[in-house]
Amino acid sequence: MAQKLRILDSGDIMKVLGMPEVLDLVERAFLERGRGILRCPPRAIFSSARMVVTSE
Amino acid sequence: MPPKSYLFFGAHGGDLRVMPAFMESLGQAGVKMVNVHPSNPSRYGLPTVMATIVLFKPETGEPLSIMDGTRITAMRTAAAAGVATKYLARPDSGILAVIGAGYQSFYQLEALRSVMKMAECRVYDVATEKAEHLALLAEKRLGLKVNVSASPEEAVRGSDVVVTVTPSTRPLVKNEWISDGMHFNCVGADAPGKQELESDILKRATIIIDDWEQASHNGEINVPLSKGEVTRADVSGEIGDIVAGSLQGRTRDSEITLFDATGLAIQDVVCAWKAYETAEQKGLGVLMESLST
Repeated sequence: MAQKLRILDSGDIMKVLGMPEVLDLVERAFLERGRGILRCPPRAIFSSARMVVTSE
Repeated sequence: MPPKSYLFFGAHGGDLRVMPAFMESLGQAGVKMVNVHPSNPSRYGLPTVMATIVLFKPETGEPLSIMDGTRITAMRTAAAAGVATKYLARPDSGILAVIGAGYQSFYQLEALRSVMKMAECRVYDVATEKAEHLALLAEKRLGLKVNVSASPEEAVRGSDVVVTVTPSTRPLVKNEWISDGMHFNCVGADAPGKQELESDILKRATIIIDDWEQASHNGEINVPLSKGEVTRADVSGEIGDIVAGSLQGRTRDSEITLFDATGLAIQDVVCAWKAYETAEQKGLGVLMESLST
């Protein structure tokens, strides 16, 4: 049985989401992404590490 | 999550972006459709950015919710800068400079005051009245005292965290104003050709992005990359890697760190899904039959 579609306007969004909660949600989204495929190739990370050492 | 797709409305000076995401681990899927038309406020009295989000049930593909995405976009964009500041700025960062005083800037103040021990807050905009309006709004709604700066230099010099939130296609922030230890959240550059910081700043900084495909084509690094002023090897990694602990964030107080934020569809979907679930519990919104059977 199909679910009904729920339509939410900006007033509804204001009632259910605040900045502290959004900060937590976005951090979790980044965490989930970071736990997945490492998008940045190892070469780039290595180059970055070398850059940090050189600049010191 | 594929990178966002763009439809450019060249003659109208705007674009439409389509941003799908499926987070298998959370069982959430959705698509955001969002425009960017910088001339809307002056020409039509409409916001620059307007978004709609549609959520889908991953098991069946049936649509669950259609919602306003403009507020979610504003909050999640600022929250990304907030998370980056938490992981990349010096822990004692107290002086914030915001360059640009549009709709997004209020949310930046709201997010960053949660992650900084805010001692001083400065804002600059080419339109001084917009900066003054933002200062009033911040004091009224956030209880935050904001000083309006006369120039971007006055705002940036001596600050700890700098947020750039403008649609500029030429660098506004100069390398000579920058001190060791600063952290930058580059939020405004979100389309090809946009750039807010001089490329020399990027050469000095540890660059963190949210997504290579998006940042390299549309983010703060897109112009310096196209000119060969920075390369992919100059990008240290993604913010997700740092939050997950697979990449170190700031390594020393004197390091200049830079987060190039282009905005990920997963940010929209996690926030929209939470809004949907809470709205369902509270009986908010309007219900309609979605499918003909």
